[in-house]
Amino acid sequence: MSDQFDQSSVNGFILCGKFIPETALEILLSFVPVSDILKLRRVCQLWKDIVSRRSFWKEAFERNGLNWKAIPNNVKEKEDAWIVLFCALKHRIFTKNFVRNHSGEAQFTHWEKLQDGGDRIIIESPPGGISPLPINPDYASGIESAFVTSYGWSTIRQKIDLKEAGLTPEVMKAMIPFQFVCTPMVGIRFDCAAMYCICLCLLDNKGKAVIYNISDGVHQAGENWIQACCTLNVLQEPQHIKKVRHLAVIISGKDNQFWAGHYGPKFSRISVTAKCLTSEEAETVEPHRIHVRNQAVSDLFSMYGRRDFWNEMLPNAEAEAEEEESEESDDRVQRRTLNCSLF
Amino acid sequence: MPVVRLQSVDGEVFPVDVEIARMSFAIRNMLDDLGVQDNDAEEVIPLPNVTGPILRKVIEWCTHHKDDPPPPEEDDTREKRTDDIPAWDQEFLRVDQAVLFDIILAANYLDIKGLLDVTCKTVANMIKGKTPEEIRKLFNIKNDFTPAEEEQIRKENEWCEEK
Repeated sequence: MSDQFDQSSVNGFILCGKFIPETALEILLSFVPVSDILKLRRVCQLWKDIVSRRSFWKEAFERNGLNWKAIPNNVKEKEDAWIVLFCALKHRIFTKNFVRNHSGEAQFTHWEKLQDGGDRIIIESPPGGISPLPINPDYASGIESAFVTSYGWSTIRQKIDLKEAGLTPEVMKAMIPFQFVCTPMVGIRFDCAAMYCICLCLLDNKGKAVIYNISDGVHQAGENWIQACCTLNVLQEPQHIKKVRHLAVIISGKDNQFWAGHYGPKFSRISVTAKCLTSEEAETVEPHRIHVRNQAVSDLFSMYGRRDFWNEMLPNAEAEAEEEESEESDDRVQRRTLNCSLF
Repeated sequence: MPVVRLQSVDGEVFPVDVEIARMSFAIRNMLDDLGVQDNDAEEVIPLPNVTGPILRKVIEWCTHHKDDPPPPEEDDTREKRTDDIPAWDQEFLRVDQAVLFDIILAANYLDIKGLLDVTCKTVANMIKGKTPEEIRKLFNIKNDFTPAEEEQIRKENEWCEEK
């Protein structure tokens, strides 16, 4: 049967001498387990091409119970979409929370204490002086616990190993523009005001900060559970993206009334997710700061811990940054170097 | 039960219950177009792409599965596992690879989703765990990459792997 075809143009269509139509071949290959999909690219030109097709990935997502419609069109239209789609399928990079032990259910496992102010950070289970956490089907385990701070700044950090999470530098490069979103529940007691600060920071293989962003808040007593949010926007390829290894999540808080005990903000359901942005979305979000120096964030927090300081400090160092990094002429990205201890 | 007569490319005629024949969307459309609904047992439907032995297999599969629930909606995102082939189907598909591909072609042509899925799953399971070279050998596919292209693909694949 195969004699009637020009062999080179139909290679990969003919399996065991039978010509398989394209649509059937796509369906067939989409049933291959996720762990074997990349190998299909190495079989022949045609199969490599099929694995780069949108229609193939749509089938593969459906086979694996993933919502294809939840993947934004701009991802599907990317030239290297297969890289991102494969990682979405294998590592669930668009649906999972990268943070482990998100509510202190395993005490401080996976978290480092960078600061332990006042009467020290503790775990409360269930959290006291506040209503129960709102119901959320993503956290249906029934375990209710939170990290609870005191009257001096307490700061915890978790370093997410991005390679382990499926986000290699090349995958992130293919995802641009994208953002990491950190959305912890911050609990403010009925009887005490509180302040907090959340920082997301990409670290390179030497632990240097590549890009970071901070968001903070001050709240009156009785505000209950608030969903805080810190995003880290990666809109263009940062200079050092090839070396990026970790995403640090830094959570910091203290009470605002200097009360002995644990009246500071509580942190629960700390989540970090990844999201690809459409080009329209990328226009409307702020590009985040790129960092060049290697320092330790712990010192910064122990001295200041608040954004006031970061804001004061960063512009002053800008002149130096321009000088040192003049080969990097990217006007959409604010580059600032901090001369004191930071990251 | 009304019956239709399906004729294979080699002239063999199979009388089949309408309900079973209608599991094929292609046949269903033909019947609807012809206006053949009931008791027109003399109507013969020619299937120019399917041989007698394969058509017999297809009818056997459809007969066994005639009471299966309808396939899930497009939007259904429940996981459809690749290793959950029912025992009866596994036994039914214990055939030569060439026959297996003939059944895939028939299921594709006749548009019988359940049969296409289960046969594709069976082939996909053969691919599982094999090297690209073993896959090529299994299906008799030519390696049409230059060494440079192979190297490039290897590199690209590594981008997605943890190690």
